[in-house]
Amino acid sequence: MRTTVFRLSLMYALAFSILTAIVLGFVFISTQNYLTERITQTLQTDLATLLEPDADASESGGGRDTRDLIDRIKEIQHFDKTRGGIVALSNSAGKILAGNLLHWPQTIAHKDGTARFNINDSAIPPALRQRSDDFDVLVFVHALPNGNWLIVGQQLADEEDLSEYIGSLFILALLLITLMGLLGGVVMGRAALKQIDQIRNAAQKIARGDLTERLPVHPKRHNEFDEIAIELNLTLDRINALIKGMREVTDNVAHDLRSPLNRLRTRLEVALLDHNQIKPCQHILNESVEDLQGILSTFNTLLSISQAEAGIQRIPFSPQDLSALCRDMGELYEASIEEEYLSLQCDCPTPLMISGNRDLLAQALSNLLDNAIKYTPRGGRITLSTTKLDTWAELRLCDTGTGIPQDQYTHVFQRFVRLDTARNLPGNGLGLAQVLATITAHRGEIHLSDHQPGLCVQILLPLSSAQI
Amino acid sequence: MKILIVEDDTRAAHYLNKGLSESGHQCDLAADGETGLHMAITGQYDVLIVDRMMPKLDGLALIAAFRAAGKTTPVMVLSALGEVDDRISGLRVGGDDYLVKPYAFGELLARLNALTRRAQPAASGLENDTLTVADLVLDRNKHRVTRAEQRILLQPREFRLLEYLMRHADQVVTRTMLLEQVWDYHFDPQTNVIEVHISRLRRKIDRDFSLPLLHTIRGAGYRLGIVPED
Repeated sequence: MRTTVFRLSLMYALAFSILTAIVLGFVFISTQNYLTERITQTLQTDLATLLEPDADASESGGGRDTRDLIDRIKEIQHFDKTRGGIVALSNSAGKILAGNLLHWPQTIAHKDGTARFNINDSAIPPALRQRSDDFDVLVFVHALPNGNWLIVGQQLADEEDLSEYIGSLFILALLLITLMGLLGGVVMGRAALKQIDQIRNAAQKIARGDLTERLPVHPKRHNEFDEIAIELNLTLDRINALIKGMREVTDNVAHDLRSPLNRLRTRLEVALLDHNQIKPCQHILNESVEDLQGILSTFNTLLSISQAEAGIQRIPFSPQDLSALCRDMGELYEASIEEEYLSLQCDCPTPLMISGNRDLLAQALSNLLDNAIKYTPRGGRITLSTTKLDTWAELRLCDTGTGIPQDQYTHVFQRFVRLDTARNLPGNGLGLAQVLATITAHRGEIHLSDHQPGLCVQILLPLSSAQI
Repeated sequence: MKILIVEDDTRAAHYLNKGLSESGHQCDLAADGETGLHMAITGQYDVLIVDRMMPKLDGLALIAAFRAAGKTTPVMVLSALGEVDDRISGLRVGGDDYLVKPYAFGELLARLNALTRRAQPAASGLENDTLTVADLVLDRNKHRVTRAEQRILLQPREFRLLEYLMRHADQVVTRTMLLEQVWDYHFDPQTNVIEVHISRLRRKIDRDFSLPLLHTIRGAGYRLGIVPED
């Protein structure tokens, strides 16, 4: 979940950056083209000025034209020392007749139109250079009717500087935009995650049986998450109403079934009080009372499992020291354990505070101890220990008995499940189901493992926040 | 003693009445809460047995009203609701003991006896530091138990167990009562853990003496006293 949200925001940031790069690149290239275009136009104007026919030279011959042009070039050179402009006239053999080039540039063909060459060309006299670093020269070449070639040009030092400056600005902007995209993605992702976390926390509480819990809905925002939360809350209301109805039915059944059973027992017990009258069948009555006791006890256990499974809202919890409870239960059971020629080792030194119900936990521990005693042969050993494990209070109860086959580990927690090895021993098959329901109601976990030989039961209960 | 039974299940009330009468008690019956409250306030009873769920006025409301009228008669609450918080709310409104259906009749009888005995502390010598049953003496101050002048060494829990049994001498005390009063647990052990503690205690106080004091009452519990009931 977490990675999905962050991957999505990362992908958005990446796509955003690529798009920005394309737009900025287009702007950059257009700017450069525009600059070159402007310079080319200037050069064409310069050329036109040079070639403009003189008013008083209109009637003079062609030889006079060349001399006139040379004069004009010299004139321009005189006024244009600082501009870094280039102008030269060469004859058809490439010899410079006038201008500020030393010879015809090596890379420039004798062809009409614009061309570029590097400033380091030996045709440029060092004094003419605008700056000492590397840049290009843009020139316009023009063929004259008499076979001579005229070349006008401009050094691009400033223009290239400008381009570089714009380029670095664009890269900086791109970096900034990428960074902001990423940041925005993370912030928005976290906002979404926060909402998802809230929904998940509420869902966990509901899963533990607290059906009064509702998913959080923002009063004004109403985004998609809120829509889902509203729908789910409506579903929960309906489920809650149904379960309430079920519980009422269960309570009524409990009342209605237990009352006649109880009457039956009282009747038998009262009959037993009158010894003389019923001496012959006293034995039968006694056994009936005991059977009835068994039925009622199973019935009570079933009800208490349902109650624990129904969740936390009906069971009062208070701070409990798990270690003290274990020591107490160990003491209660020590005599029974010794009576079966077993030994109990209780190792619960440190107080472990949890939030729980003492009677339910005692019942669960009692069921586990009963099992350990029942399935451990004489001379065996039972160990009961508690330790702090991260944020959990850990309880381990291990015996050296017959154990449970590994493939039965989940099966044994179901109601009325009894393994073949246990068929001839007393019990109703509800003990472990009751333990599981109790531990689940305490938001804990229970795990079984092989103690080789025997069974190890590990119970994890969340420690009170004060002790973490 | 004189007992008022407030129970809407008339047949259950009938058997309760029969059983209690045969145990030597005198009972009055009330079939709903309002009648029950009226009879409880106007009559003279040693103990009240009140069902929780009843028409007109439920058991808790009855007890609250009864206590508000300034009555201190012990009240035993009976209920099919066995959850822990129900037990607590039952005791909070002024009930003195709480028994969850299904209960054994012997359990009810034993608890009723304990309740009425508690109501008259002066007569039973509860305030004494020494408890005596026949030649068995328990000194709470010195934490010392002797029988026929012989010192008997007990574990702390065995001491509390014996103390409870001696305070309720000649009464039937059930296993559930012992688990609640001596160990402070309200749950239902599948095996009889209490039985083992009792037999250990019995070995210490009875084995070397000719007169047994700690008796097991079949189907009900235990009784500490000179003569067994049956």
